[in-house]
Amino acid sequence: MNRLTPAEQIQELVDDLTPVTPIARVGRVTAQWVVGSSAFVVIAMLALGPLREGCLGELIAHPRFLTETLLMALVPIFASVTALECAVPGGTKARFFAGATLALVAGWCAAVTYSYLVEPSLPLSMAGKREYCFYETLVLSLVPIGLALAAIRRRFALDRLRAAVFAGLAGAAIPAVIMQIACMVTPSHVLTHHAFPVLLLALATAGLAGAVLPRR
Amino acid sequence: MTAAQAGDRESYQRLLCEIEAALGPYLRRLLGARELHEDCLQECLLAIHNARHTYDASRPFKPWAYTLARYKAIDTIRRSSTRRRYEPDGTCDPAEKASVAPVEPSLDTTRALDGLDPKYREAVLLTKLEGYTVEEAAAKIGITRAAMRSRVHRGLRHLRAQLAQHLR
Repeated sequence: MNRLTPAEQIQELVDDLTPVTPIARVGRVTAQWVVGSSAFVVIAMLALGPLREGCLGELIAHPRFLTETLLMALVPIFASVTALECAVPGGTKARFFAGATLALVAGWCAAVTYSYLVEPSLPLSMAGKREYCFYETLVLSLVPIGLALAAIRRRFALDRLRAAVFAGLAGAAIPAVIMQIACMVTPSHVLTHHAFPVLLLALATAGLAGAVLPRR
Repeated sequence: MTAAQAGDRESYQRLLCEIEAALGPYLRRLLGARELHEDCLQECLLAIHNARHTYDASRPFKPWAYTLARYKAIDTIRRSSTRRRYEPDGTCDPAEKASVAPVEPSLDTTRALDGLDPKYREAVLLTKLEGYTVEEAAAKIGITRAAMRSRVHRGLRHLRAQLAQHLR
C-alpha cells in the first residue's frame, strides 16, 4: 500500500497550514441563537396576529400557568446547548444538557396533562384562538431550526442524529412557548396544536440529519 | 493548537509530532494490524488538520483529539470488514493481490479520474491500474519515490472525496 511516512505527512500538513478563525464558544452561539430566533418568532407572530388580550397579566396572576410557561421557555436554551455540545468532539456536557432538556419537556408535559385531567392552570377559554396556530408553529420553527443546523454544520458533529434531534426540539420550542402565551389556553389544544408540532419537527430534523449535517 | 490556528507552523509541527507519538500506540491497541493502524493514523492527522478551526481553546485538547481518533478507528474497522467481505475468494494476502492483473476502472472511477489534476491522475493510473510499483512509476516519469508516493496519496484522497460525493 502506498502510504506517506508520518514524518512526510506531518511536513505536508505543516506546509499546508493557513490561519483559521476558530468557531465561537457554545455559550455565545447559544445566546445569539436564542435571542435572534426569539426576536424573529415574536415579530413574525405579531405580524400574523395579536397576542391574546391580558396574557402577560395572567402570567403574573396564575403561578401554575407561569410555571408551565417557564418550563417550556427553558427548553430552547437547554436543547440548543445540547445540540451544539453534540458537535464538540470529546465534549462532556451533552449528556447533562440532554437529560436536563428531556426533564424540562417531561415536566411541562406532566403540568399540561395535569391541567387537562385535573384542573386547568387558567380558566378555560377560546379567547385569543389563532386560526392557524398549528401551522404557524410549524412554519415559524423553520428559521430557528435552520440557524441551529447551520451552527452545527460549522462544528464537528460526530453524533449527527442526536445533534439534529435537539436542534429540531430547540427550534420548534420557541414558537410553541410563545403560542402558549399568545393563543387560547385549553390544555388539550396546547397538547395537540402547540406541543405536537414540536415532536413532529424534532423527528423531521432527525430525518434530515444525514442530508444536512456532513459526515465527518 | 491555538498557535496553529493562528498559522504558527513551528508550533503546529511540534503538536503534530506529539499527536503522532500519542495516537500511534493508542490506535495500535485499538486496531492491531499494522497496515490498519498506519492508515488510520494518517486519517486522524488529516482529520485534525481539516477540523482545526472547530477546536475551542477553552476546552482540553486531548479529549478532542482522542475522540476524533476513536471515531476514525471505528470507521477504519468498518471499512476493513467491508473490504474483507468483498475480497475475491476471501483472500487478504497482499502477495496474491500483487499478482492480479491490472484493474479495469468502472465508469464512475473513470469519470472521477478525469476530474483529477493530471500529475495525480498519472500517479494513480500507473500504480493502481497499470500495476507499477512506486519505485517503477517514479523512475518511469523521472521523479523521486517520495514525490510519487505523495502524488498517489493525494490522488487517492481526491478520488475518494469525488466518489463519496457522487454516491451521496
